[in-house]
Amino acid sequence: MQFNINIPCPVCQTQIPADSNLLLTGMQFSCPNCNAAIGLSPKSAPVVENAMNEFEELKKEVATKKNMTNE
Amino acid sequence: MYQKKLRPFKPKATKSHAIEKIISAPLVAASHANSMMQKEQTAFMMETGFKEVNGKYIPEMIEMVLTQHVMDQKSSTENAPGMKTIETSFNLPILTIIPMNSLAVDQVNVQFEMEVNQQISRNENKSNTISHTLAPNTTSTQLKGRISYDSKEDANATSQYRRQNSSSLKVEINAAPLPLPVGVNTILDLYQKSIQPIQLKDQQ
Repeated sequence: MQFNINIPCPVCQTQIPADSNLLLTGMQFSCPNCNAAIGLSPKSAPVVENAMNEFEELKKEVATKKNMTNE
Repeated sequence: MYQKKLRPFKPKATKSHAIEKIISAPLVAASHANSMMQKEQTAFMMETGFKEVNGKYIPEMIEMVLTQHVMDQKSSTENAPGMKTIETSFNLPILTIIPMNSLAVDQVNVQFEMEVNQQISRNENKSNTISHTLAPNTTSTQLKGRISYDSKEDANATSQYRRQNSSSLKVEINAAPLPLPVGVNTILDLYQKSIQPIQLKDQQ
C-alpha cells in the first residue's frame, strides 16, 4: 500500500509512513522501530478534513484553468 | 487574489506573424499558468497552514494521539506481565499532514505545422466586339454600284487568381504534481524535526 505522508515518530524520530485519508477515518499507524502508534485526534479531524477538501478544490480549479488555456 | 482572464490562443495565418512569436506564445502561456498556480498554492498554504496573530504568522496546529503499550508493574503477576496502554497527545503543524505537491505544468509539447498553398490563376473575360457595318443603301453616291463594308473583332482571355494560406498549431500541456519547492520542504523538515512529546502541566 502506498502512503502519501511521513510523520516522524515522537519517541524515536523514525519516519512513520501514513495516509492522511486513513488518518481521517481514525486509523492509527505504528512506528516500524518502536511500535508506538500515532493517530489523528477526533478533535482535529474536522480541521484536517476541511483543509484537504480546500486543497482538492484548488487542484480542480487549477485543472479547469489549465483546460481553458489549452482550448 | 491575482486573477487574469485567459484568452485562447488562435494563430492567424498571415504572413505578418513571425513563426517565433507563434511558437513562443504557448510557452509564455504555460509559464504564466505556472506562476498563477504557485501564487494560488502559496495563498492556500498561508490561509490554511497559518493563522495571523498580532501581525505574526503562527502555524495552525492539530492534535495527534500517540499510543504506547507499556509494562505495568501493578497489574503484573508472577507468571504474566501486565500491560498498560498510554495515550499521549502531541501537536503537529497541519501542513505536515496534508499531502501537498507543487501544482505546476511540467511539460509543454509544441507541434507546429504550417501549410502554405499558393495558386495563382487569373480570370479575366474580355470581349470586344467591334462591328462596323456600312449597310447598303445607307450611303450612296452617285457612283453607280454599291459599297458594302463589314468588320468584326473578338478578343477573349481567361485567367484565375486564388491564394490560400493556412497554419495549424498543436499544443499539448501536461500538468502534474511536482515536488515541493526547497524552501517549503525546509520549513516542513524543521517542523517535523521539532516534534517532541512535551509534558503539559495540569491546569488544575
